[in-house]
Amino acid sequence: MKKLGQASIAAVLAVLGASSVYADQTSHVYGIHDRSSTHFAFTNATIHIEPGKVITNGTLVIENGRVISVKANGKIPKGATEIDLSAHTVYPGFIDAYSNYAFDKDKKKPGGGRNDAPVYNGQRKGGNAWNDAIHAQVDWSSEFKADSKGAEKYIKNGFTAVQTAKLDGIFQGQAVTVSLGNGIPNDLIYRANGRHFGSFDKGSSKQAYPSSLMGSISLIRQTLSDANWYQKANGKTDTLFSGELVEYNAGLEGVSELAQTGLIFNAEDYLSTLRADKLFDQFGVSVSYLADGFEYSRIDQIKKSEATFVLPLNYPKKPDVTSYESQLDVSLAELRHWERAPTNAATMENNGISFAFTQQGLNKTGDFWSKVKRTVKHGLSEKTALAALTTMPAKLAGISGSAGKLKPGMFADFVITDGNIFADGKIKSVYMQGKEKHFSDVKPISLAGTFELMLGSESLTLELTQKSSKVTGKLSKGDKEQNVTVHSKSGDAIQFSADLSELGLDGVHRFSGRVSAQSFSGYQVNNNAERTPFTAQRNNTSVENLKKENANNKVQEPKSMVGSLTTPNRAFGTNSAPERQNVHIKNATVWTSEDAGTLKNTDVIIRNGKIHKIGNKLKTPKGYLAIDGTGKHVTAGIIDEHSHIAISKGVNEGSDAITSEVRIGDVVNPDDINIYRALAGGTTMAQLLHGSANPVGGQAQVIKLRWGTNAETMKEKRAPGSIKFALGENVKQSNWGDNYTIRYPQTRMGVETIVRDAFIRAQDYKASWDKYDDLSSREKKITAPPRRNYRLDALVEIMEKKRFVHSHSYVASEILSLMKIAESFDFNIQTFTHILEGYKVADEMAAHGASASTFSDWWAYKFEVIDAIPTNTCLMMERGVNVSINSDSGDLIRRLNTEAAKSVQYCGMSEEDALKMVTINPAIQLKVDQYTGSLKKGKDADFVIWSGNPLSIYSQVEQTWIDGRNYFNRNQDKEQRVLLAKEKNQLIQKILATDNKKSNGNNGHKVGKSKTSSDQIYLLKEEAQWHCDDNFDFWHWKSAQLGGQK
Amino acid sequence: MKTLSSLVLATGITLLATASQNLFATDIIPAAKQQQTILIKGGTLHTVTDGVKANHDMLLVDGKISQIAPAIAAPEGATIVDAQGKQVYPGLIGMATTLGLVEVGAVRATRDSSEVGRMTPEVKAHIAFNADSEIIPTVRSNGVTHAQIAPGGRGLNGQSSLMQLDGWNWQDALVKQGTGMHLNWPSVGINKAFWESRTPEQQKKAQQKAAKQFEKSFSQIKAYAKARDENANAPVDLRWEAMRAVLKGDMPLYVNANDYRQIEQAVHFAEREALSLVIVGGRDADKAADLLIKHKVPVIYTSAWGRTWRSDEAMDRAFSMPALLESKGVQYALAIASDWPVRNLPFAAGQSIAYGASKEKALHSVTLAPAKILGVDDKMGSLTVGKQANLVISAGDLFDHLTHKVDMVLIDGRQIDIDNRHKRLHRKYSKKPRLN
Repeated sequence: MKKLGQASIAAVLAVLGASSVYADQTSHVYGIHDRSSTHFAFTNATIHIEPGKVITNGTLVIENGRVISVKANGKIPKGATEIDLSAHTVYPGFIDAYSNYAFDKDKKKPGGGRNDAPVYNGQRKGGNAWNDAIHAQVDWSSEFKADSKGAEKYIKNGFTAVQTAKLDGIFQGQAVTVSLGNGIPNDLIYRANGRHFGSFDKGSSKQAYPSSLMGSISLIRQTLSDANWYQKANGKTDTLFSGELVEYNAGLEGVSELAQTGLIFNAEDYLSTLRADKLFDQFGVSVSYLADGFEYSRIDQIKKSEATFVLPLNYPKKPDVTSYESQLDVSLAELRHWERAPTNAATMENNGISFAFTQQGLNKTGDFWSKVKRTVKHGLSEKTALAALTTMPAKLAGISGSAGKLKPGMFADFVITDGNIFADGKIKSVYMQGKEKHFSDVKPISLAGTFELMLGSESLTLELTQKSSKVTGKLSKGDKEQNVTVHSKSGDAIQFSADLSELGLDGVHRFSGRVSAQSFSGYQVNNNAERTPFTAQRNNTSVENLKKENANNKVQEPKSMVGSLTTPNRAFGTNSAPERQNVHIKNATVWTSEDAGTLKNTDVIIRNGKIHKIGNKLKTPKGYLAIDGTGKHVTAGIIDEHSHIAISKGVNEGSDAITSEVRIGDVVNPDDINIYRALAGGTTMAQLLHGSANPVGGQAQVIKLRWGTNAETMKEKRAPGSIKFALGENVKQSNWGDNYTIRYPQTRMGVETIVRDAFIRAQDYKASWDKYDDLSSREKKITAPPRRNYRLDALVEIMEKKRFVHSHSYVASEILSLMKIAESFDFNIQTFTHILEGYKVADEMAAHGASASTFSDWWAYKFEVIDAIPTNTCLMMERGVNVSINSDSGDLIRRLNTEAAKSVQYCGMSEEDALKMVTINPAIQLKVDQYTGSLKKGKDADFVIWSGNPLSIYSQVEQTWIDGRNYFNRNQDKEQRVLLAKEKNQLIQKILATDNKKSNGNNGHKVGKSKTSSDQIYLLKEEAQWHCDDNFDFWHWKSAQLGGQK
Repeated sequence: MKTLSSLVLATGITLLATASQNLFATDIIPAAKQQQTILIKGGTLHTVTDGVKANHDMLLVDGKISQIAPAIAAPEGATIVDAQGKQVYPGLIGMATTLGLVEVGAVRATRDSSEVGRMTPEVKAHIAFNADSEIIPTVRSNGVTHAQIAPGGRGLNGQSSLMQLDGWNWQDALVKQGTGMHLNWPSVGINKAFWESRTPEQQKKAQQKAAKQFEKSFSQIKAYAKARDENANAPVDLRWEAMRAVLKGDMPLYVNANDYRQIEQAVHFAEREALSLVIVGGRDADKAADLLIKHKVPVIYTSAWGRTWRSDEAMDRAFSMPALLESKGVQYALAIASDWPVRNLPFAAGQSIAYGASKEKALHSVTLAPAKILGVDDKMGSLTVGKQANLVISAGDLFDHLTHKVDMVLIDGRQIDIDNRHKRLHRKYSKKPRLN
């Protein structure tokens, strides 16, 4: 049996590769059939059969692209060619379960921007879905063709297979799992029907809908529901409603597969992952999420999702704190994440969350392994790391039975390294279906060494140095030396020249020779064109020394964390949600916002999160926190009827005139610092409203500002459903630019009609369900059920008085007409919000039963507010309308008390009535007045302690409490500022102490040389400060941004 | 001798306004020149320069303050205003506003605040000033008697003017033109707003380019000024001609700058070019306090209710800035750089007091401080004998909504009609019959 050197193996395989282009069974063979040997035995290797299962001195036998056997000290079968892998390690080939390999060619074109005319209808062909972001019917296997150049960036990191699809749109189609080898798809496709891929981003779809995250969520919800309906209804007649057959819809058929195949979903961030998980759970779809690297910061919730993850290893570059000036751009949240990001995988492992690694999202794939190593240094076990590269992705890609391990019968996909790949092992070769992709020789011949060279009578010393592939050298004699110029090298051959005048030999000498373990020999040509042979004996300088040196150059990784981890993980986040306390406030001025009025020298007792007692000179019960209220004022927590804080990725789904299906509740952002700042202004509850871009906007969400908890905990479950309507300039697109003149409605007349039309449709819809529900079970079997329509469901809820309308409105005419619509469908407008001309129709509003939530003194910013007056509140109140003051901004929500005081200023409203405008009155509007909004026995302990009269500009909030928990405390806030400043400086010092010279691309960057780093300057985008009329297409904006980066 | 209580006076004005509605509902007639001597009796005078004088009299003659004393005998024919128990302040001065330049923000036809182009030093704000703006009466009825109006834009925007807020037209209302040349300092740092589509690298590159462009333009301007200074026959370029007063240090350069780096750059730029500098914005002014003091650069702070800028800064940083500047000794004025919101100027002062500014400094920051920056502190900004009779009489503390109640406003001794569109609409709809 012959042993082949590594170099010749490569040559053999290259031939194999060439002749096996058509190795499938069905193709015609033109020419001689290729029957080269594919039988190899890799011996003396350390073999990782699967994560946690290692054999030393192992023998791996492969044939025909499959593993035949893996055994310790295994025998070499007859006919197999042995490849000696002593001192080498073999891993199963790595798999990336989330890739766009072979489909990343045509760059995603951004959809329309605000300067393009809007596109409302999708492009219909072949029974596709109505929305262009849904193309679940696409099987990417039928589009697949090997892309050897694209494969290279995977193979060089040891990947042998990927699950891939074009990453574009919401339902992106069914991915295909393929080998990264070169050949025809028939041989490369491991699994044609992989998982479906998806995202919230509509991608290249030019269609206007959806334009926000909540719109995408709604579209997914409706589509999953439609797919279920389609399954039930397909082929049946819709006899009840139109008499028509159910449409053919390939898109919905594609979506129906999800329950079987599962989905890999890019939610973009950890909060949206939680949102997506809630959504998909309702439809029983099993999903694996693309992680964003911040999972550690809300790990408990992530764990609870019980989802698996695909984890990119994109760690932030060192924030630039090199000067005071540049430091001004760096936030504590960024510093914390810089420090903690590499621990994300370890944190997930410790919490039992399964994940696979992916190269997707990495700015430079060359950094992949340095990032993996960094992850392992930060606590991830090597076993889990290997699983994240092999068995986990194999599972996600549906190829567990054929890849991800080195077991007999599996594909001969493996990686050969010269040591532990998680430490300093380098990849030497990658085998895909038994074919080698060669990177460097298993047994490389080192050119490095010191050689004693005789040139004529002169004795010179040649010193060759090799750093990876680069060879340098110098010739010396005594203390004189001369660098040589290396012209070429290949294997053991090298050619160089040197001017040796300095060393006592005339002119330039050229050398051609080969290096062996003992010597360097060949020919040299001197300046007289004389060609003479030479042999130089090797001295004992070794490669080993160089290796050791390299090992010492390793970057010292930070061990302990100096940054804190809070919820949310940013400045003023909390270590834990505040404890519920029993409290006794003594001797304060208590504004009850009840008939009892304002009580001086009064005590309030809080028990179990409720107001227990209000009285005089009460005794402090045992174990109660006593607060001296002398000189202080206590009010109910402030309530904001109209807020847009704490909303992620778009406040408007303004792409359609009626969007009652979208829900602010889907996109509550518990990390928004505006929550904390609003608490500091005494606000305890806010109704988060959809914007005012369309006549019927989305469903609202009432929250209590429970800072430091999560989105679900913040939601006030006892508040009945509500919804935003809007009228006037915004909905008729008056200020949207010249492109926005084609969507109905463009006038107040049209607004009235389209809202009326929507309710008529909702009535029809309700009637069709009623009819269907009355059918016998036999009839139901042959009748297509009505399609569940979330948009109309919300309108039905309004008519059934289960959901209440808060309508953005300004002028008298539109206020009157909306009340008429409501009356004709037998419901009431709960609250007109903004309502700056409410004073003109106050009697009419009172008669209808509508309340009003207005601005204190805004006017003149657009034409429809030209008649706004600051005495609107008084005039409406005098006519019996319940009036509140709202913020509509993250600014005013911090100071609604002085906004209310403006009515005292402008129209002499009583101070008690003024305070009611921001406490009990909005509570009534939100229908939560039985729980909160005033200080009354039995109500929630939502209250504020003020330094003085709560309406005075000179007063400050000292403490804000919700449910008997202290969420804001001015003294603690002051202490925290000091601690945060200290922490920030410690993180900055830690960065400054990190040695710049030795950091490579993965750990930082050289100041001023960001071009050499693969990472971009790291920044955390700040929360959007939404306003009512912030209408733009979030996804188009995002894709334009990505386009700009390329 | 007529004795009018301010209540009677207010009623009189109301009657006048009601009568005029029969003719032109929206017209408020600018007050005529002061004819009679006015004696304000027994008010609490917030003089700014000489503390608070309780129960003092003040005599106004020919539009000027002629005497302040505990008790002044009423001259023959004087109108007497009973200010017993009331608070008397100098008229407030709004800085960096767009009053009269913008009527309805969203309606393009009513916007006259920003000229096209990045270099428009030649434009003068008062040229577009609409003395009949419906916004102005709502501002002065809250105690603001004067406003600097300034062109906006994204570069070198043009020249501001000081207006009194009760005139027939701009010429009548103009107090001083060329109060400053307004420049937006090139942006610095990394914008992290969600809508910013450029990468930090792209932003930095753009900033470097803008800074270079700025230097280049400025040397062009200097070359022009030199040519004109040394050769009267050199051709006139209206743009650069407007900059000559700035280069000579005669017209201050108002630089919109919030970030510390902008302020630092602007201060050193002004030092290098020997310009007179005013910083407008100043959200990081505390960080540059030493520099501002050393170079005697005043700050017009425009974020009385500003939101916390950087994500990890304290929630009340913007509120506390006036107090910080006071404690460090930086000269500052408070301003609301906008149009209709200027009427909240008194409460901006109140807000600064709530967050640590002294009452004296807060009052100073909306009266004498702006007057000084404008170079008119010899004429207004305090209740001082010899200064213009610009004053506001309020039933209570002007700076708190709970007590603010303006009874009378005088500009140059003229009693201003403090009616406005809002009061008119209020009266109209108070009369709407009830539904039954």
